[in-house]
Amino acid sequence: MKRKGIFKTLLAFVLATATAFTAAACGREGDESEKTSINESKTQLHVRYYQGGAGRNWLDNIVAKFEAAYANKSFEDGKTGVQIVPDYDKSGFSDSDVKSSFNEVFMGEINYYKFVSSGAMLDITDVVRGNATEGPEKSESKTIESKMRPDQQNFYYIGEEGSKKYYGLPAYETSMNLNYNVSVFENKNLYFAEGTDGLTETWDEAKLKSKDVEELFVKSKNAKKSKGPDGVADTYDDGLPATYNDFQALLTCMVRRAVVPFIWNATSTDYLTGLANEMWANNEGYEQMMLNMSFSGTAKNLIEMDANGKMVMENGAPKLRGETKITPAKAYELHSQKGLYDAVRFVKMMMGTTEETNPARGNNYFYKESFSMEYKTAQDYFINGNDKGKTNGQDIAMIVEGTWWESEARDKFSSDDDRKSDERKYAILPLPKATYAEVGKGNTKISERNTVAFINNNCASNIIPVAKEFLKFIYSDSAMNDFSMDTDMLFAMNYKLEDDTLAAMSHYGRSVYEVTRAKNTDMMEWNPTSDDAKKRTDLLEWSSYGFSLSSGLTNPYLYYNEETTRNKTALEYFEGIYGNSKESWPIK
Amino acid sequence: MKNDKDNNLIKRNGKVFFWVMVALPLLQFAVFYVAVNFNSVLLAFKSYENYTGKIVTRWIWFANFEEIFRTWRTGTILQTAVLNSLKYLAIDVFVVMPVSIMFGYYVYKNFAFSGFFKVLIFAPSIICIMVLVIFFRYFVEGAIVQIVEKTSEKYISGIFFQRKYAFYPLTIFYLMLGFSGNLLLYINAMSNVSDSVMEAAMIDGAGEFKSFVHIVIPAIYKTCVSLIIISIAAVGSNQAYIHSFYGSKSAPEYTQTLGYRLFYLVIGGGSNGDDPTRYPIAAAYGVLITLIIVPVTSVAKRLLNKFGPSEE
Repeated sequence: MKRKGIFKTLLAFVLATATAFTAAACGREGDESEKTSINESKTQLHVRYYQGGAGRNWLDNIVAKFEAAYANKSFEDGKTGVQIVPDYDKSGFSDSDVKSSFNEVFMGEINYYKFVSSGAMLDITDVVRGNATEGPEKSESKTIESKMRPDQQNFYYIGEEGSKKYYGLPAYETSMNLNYNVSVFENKNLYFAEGTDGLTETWDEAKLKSKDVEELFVKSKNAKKSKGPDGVADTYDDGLPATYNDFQALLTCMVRRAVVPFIWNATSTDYLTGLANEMWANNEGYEQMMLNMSFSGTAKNLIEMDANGKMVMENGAPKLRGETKITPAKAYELHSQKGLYDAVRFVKMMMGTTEETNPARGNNYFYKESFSMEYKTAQDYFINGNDKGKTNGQDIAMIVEGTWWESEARDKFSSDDDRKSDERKYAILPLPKATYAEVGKGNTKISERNTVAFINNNCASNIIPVAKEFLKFIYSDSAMNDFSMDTDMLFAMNYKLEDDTLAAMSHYGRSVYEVTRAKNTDMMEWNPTSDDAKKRTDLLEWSSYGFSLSSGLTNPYLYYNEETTRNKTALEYFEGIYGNSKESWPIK
Repeated sequence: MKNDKDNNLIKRNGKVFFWVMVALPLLQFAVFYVAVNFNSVLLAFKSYENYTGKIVTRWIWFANFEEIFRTWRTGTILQTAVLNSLKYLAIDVFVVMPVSIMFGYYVYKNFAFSGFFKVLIFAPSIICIMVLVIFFRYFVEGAIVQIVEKTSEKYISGIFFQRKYAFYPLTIFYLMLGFSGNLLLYINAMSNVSDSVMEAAMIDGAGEFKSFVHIVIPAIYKTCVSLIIISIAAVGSNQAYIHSFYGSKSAPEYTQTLGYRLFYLVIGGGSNGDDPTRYPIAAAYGVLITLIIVPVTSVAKRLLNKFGPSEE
């Protein structure tokens, strides 16, 4: 009996421990606002912030500056100055959370239309149409609205004609990229040499996968490089692959020089779809890609498809239709855009195989465990993999990640100084063009996540002026510079980065600015721009709009990773995409 | 006379007390169950727009249902989801239930290490599901994939994203958690079997197997019927832990069940979270599934009650 009692006690202890660990694993940080001691002599402003990849340092800095700037300003009788009470964590919030919250200012990834229509967001038209400020008497000379692109104004300015309002402001800009390790490119001489522009255009696949590619690349770090995708010498993309054939040659060269070309993660396989969307937009160009956001306009780059949904070829290449009028009922035709087909070809290339095998990647171009890796591990392997002996002595050249990745991976660097040092050079790879004839065309990038800053509609009337001042402060060029300096990201606004900001950013941060704000880059939001498209936002889900098949597959990289479909041609997949879009398009 | 008066007063007070106590629960039931579900049914016949900053719903009658039928006709995602849901139902009824009953009998009879088995099988119900998923994923993607590679020189890239293989680990996980769920119910039902009946059976020469089949099974049959009916009724909502494995980024289409598909329709997986413009389609799915499941469940209940073993 005594033994049974001891056994039961032991068992109860084990179960209790297991439960405690479980509770710890499933628990979250306590509400931060409870830890802030309230200063009764100041007006409190409660700020709720989704603390994702961008981290919180930038907001802490801006909060400190705001409190200092408004230290002598009185918003309430008997009180002087403002105290920001933070509520930051990595959990999202719904519209009903907002309406029942004591927080006054919010910043996070939300469904804008849903939040406005449920009455969670305050009308801030006066803020948006007013000037940003750096302090009580320090207004900028331009309005916040003037810093927004036309497609952003179209999306955020909503309501019936004649009574439209702004309820939120776009916060940080995000795009999905091939982010490359500049140090690896330099050390392994992976840049195309001067004079090789267009050379690979006539090479077939066999040659592009042979040792003949070696002649295309620089022989030393200081050797002159090719012009790159913009076709102009002495710009940031010199030496980078200008065309798809160049890119295949680069992959071949990488595997020959003990470099794993790619890594990504399995936590968010939709990052890969995001990259495929980027390639599609880059191929089509801003104007033609935006037709997908409005379901209307004139398409100029559609491939002719026969009555059975098969591609019509002409002289071995897809035959293009003439200009085609797009209406909401016929918008499925946009899934025959040549840019989409070329994007599928690019995916197929990335998911291709090589005879140069290595334990780190098998016979693929991507790190072997990419489809089972957690995102932080993938970042770690990209930054430190070779140093830590994780990648079989191979450096990894590129990671598929969003522009927030380096900020998110701060703990994978030994310090912030290390992250911003010259030894840690990462950059966005401008995507190559499908053919040499397109070299020199501009780039198009997509910001697909809606991170929005707004004020709670239930904000107390005496706090509204404070909340509005805080929003105006955040959207000043100075505060946005602070954001970029700390996170190496950009706000989704037009603003100039000062020289000292750029100097304080990491190499990757400077690359983000250089690539996304280049004169030849158009930035688009993945948001509907016409009423017809706004009525069917369910169709425009960026993770499933472009590459879906009738089987329900939505991710082109998973398609080519599957044993059952990896040998399908780009043509077969593209025809499947078009056929599915045509058959299932619901707008009649 | 005085007693009658007192009795009437007590009865009246009793009724007043009763209705006061149930008023709030009844109101909550009326609002949060009846009204909400009624509204959901109506939503199936409407469209939902909110891009002007105001919610606008319009009657579009059967357009949502047409869209569902179009999806069924033009693709295979729905067929796959239905098939997967039926697979998990079959697993529940033909694998989980019999094995749980056998384990339940083992524990009921207090055979060797029955206490240990009881804890082992019940443990997954106690531990947080996400912890279990994380450990299971590490085990499959790490250990199992490496063992396969070492023995067959074949590396399976992203086993949870391979049509050929994903179903196996997902099914094994489903079974692990399925066993733990109902074990206690069976043990409890078996404990209601009279000891004297079991003893009489033993005296008459019935072995364990005959006692199990002819006494215990009929005794717990009503419990089994209830659980089968619950499984059939839940076939349209059973997610089979898919969301725990793949999150809201959308599981590969060949792993999806009807329940997951509906959940994903409502909660959304993209950057904009849940999109209310999808609610009417989700409501239409709900109505359709209900119209199919209700008669099937009713017929199944009748058949099981009519043709099953009885205690007599």
